[in-house]
Amino acid sequence: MTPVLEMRKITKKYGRAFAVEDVDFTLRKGEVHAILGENGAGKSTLTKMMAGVVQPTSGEMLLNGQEIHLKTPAEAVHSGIAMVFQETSLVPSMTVAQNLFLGNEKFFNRIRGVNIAAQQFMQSLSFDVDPTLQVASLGAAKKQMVEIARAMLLKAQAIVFDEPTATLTPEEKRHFFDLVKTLKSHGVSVIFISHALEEALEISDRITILRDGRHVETGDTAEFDRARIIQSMVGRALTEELYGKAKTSVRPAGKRVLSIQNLRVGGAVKNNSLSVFKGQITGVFGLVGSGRTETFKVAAGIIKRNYRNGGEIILNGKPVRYRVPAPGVKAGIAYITEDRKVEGFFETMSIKSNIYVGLLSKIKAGNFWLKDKVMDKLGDEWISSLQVKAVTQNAQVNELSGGNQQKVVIAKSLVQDPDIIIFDEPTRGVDVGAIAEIHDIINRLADEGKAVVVISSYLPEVMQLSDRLLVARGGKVVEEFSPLEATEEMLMYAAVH
Amino acid sequence: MFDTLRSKLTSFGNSRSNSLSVPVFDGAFKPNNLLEEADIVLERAGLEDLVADAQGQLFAACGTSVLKLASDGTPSEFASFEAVVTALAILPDGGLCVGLGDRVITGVGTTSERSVDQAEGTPFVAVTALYGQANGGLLICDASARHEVGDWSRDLMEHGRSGRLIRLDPASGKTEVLASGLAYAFGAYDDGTGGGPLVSESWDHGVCRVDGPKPTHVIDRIAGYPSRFAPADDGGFWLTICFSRTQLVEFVLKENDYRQEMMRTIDPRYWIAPSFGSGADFREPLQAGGVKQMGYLKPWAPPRSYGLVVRYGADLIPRFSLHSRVGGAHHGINAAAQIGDTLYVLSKGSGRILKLSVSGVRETLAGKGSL
Repeated sequence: MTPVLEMRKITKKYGRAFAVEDVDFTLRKGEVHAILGENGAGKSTLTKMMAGVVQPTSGEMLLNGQEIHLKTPAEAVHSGIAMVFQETSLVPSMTVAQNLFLGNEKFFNRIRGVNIAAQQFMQSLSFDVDPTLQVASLGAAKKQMVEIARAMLLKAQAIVFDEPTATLTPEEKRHFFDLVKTLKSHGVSVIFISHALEEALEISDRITILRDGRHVETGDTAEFDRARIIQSMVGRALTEELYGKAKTSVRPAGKRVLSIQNLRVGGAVKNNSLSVFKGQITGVFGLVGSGRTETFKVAAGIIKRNYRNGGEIILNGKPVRYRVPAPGVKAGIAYITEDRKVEGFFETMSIKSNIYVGLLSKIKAGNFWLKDKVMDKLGDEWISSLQVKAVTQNAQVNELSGGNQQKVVIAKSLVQDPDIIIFDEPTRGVDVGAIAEIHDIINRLADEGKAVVVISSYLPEVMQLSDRLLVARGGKVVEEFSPLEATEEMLMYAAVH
Repeated sequence: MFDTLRSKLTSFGNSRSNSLSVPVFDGAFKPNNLLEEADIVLERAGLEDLVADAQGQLFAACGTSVLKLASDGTPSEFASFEAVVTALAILPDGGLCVGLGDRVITGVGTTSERSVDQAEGTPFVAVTALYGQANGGLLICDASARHEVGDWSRDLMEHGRSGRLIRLDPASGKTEVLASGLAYAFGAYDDGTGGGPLVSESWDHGVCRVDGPKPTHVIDRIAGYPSRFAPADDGGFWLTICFSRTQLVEFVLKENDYRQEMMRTIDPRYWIAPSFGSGADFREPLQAGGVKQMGYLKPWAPPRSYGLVVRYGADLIPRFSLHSRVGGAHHGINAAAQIGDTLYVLSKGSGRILKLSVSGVRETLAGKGSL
């Protein structure tokens, strides 16, 4: 049978660097094909060539056996290849319905008609999104749903999903998987890029693994297991380093450093109470919208709690109420954001400048001149300490891979020498190799006696890292588990019911 | 009206007074059922305090008597008094000391028996706890200068801060007030390291170290009302918590008009206040409440009583705790004593003395990853 899409010896060069080199790839009709690899392996470049976003330097591409040269995404869409991007490409100021029909508007566009059509279409996909809402007001998961719906609306022969589940809750993921199965049954081919290997193993029919821009292997999913995938992805066995080992001991709790009592923040956090102890990793698991991020953002002074009956935050035995993050930083709280691209760093500044910016909030008043020597020293120290892979410390952060960007964000906070470090989704959009290194950093901090909080929606991660597990649901912590007794089922049950 | 105005003015710019928040049972305070499932050694009305001597003999204060408990829990009367025994202690020389509310008797049953009823000219009113120091001194907690032991809830509702910690030299009968103005001194402990004795301030939910003219808070924001201490076998101590804190009681403690009217018009047994035990009387408050959430009326009954003992290390960090949860019976824990591997716990709410194996407790908690 002729494959829907075939790439032969495809190569993409940026300057002298190969992003993708001599890769062969075939996509069969009605199959789900997972492309796996570390950050920088060339997955996104390969799929961008399929979607007409970038053009190959050499090699050929065939659609239904006919050679094609896609110059723009619009051409790819008209040819039947749609792509759902990792970062949403929706227009935030427009409504869901307007986004869905963007580019397909009629001359006389009835808003009511568009809304009704959008509503019907979203319902047919079992997506619970109000089409009249502005996209800017939606959470990450709902934005992703709109993105997926838009690709569905294009009636593509092949849809490329780049990290589609990174921002979805487990229940939403199930919806997504069902959707992929529906697509498959309609003969649509799906290309699926994900860092979550379990998802790839569960959902895909075939797997292709890339490493350093080169094709490593392709095979039926049944032939793969987690260890083999990781071995192929990174060229070394990382399974044991990551989630393979069952936890046999936990660090004992030290002094209580942070106590959150009956906290209320709008409708997001409701009467939430928890404590964080020195020398321990406190894992906080919950679904998107369970109020975990908001709770810790209040503690760090990033958002404010309700003025009346908003509860208390007690830091080292003293009640605190920060209106801005700076006093929180001075008091020793570091919050490492889940959304590094928006809140984590200045993407056009260098690594060393970003790290130095972290220190500025701790510098005493009157001592505010930027000191290049200090900046260089800090840059060198933290690049080597956290093993940030960059050509020089002057490299811009947006040139780095996701894992290395995350390390810069971590360095930016650790340079403040905090006592409490709050990691919010520390390994989201980070490749397997970097995940292990970030986990090492987190463990090292706890071993040094720091109080560490890890907020994560990824169960194996939170179970592997934590010495104490809190489960949040509906705006408050509802259960505490020890990782020695907890199972994934117990945590998920507590998070959902 | 003035009360409302004053509370508004106080709350202005003061974030604490805007919140009714209580610490959460997490970390070392993570709830379990160990106290509820503990073996019952003795069940008798009027149990108040426990103490063990150096030979491993357990004594219990029960009504006007001091009971001596055999290893199987069989009680025999060791001494009896004309007043209710409110506290017990053993001195290093083996002498038993008892508190009788407004006085203390040292050397019970010996020729050197002595009764002391005042310190520095101020008479005792509510002797709630005694502790025999290694240097032979006796620490006395006189919890309130206004209300006797049985009237503790009135002291709480009046925000009492008249407690004292006193050191008595049993040989000479000389007393010294170590600390005063305490928010209900309900327990004392001295680890003998010279750092100064510890005293629990129940209404302040904390423990102070008395190492100078002004006590310093060393443990605060406990999720309940701390009562007496008991030395643990490997350093550290057991701290019994007689009630848990609830937002409702915190609210009542802030609402002056409501509280005063409640105190004026209602029998203290039915106040909205903590209790050693609950569920025995249909007239108790808080048994059937309701709260409307998201348009639904839901049952809501905040607890009046709870059972809790916390094991602290010598570094004053809580290690683990034993609980009898809201639905349980072993509530109102106000004394404990450890003999070898056995921990005896007194539940005043249920009128029972409970027995647990410390190594068994550790094993259970370690199995659950809570240790």
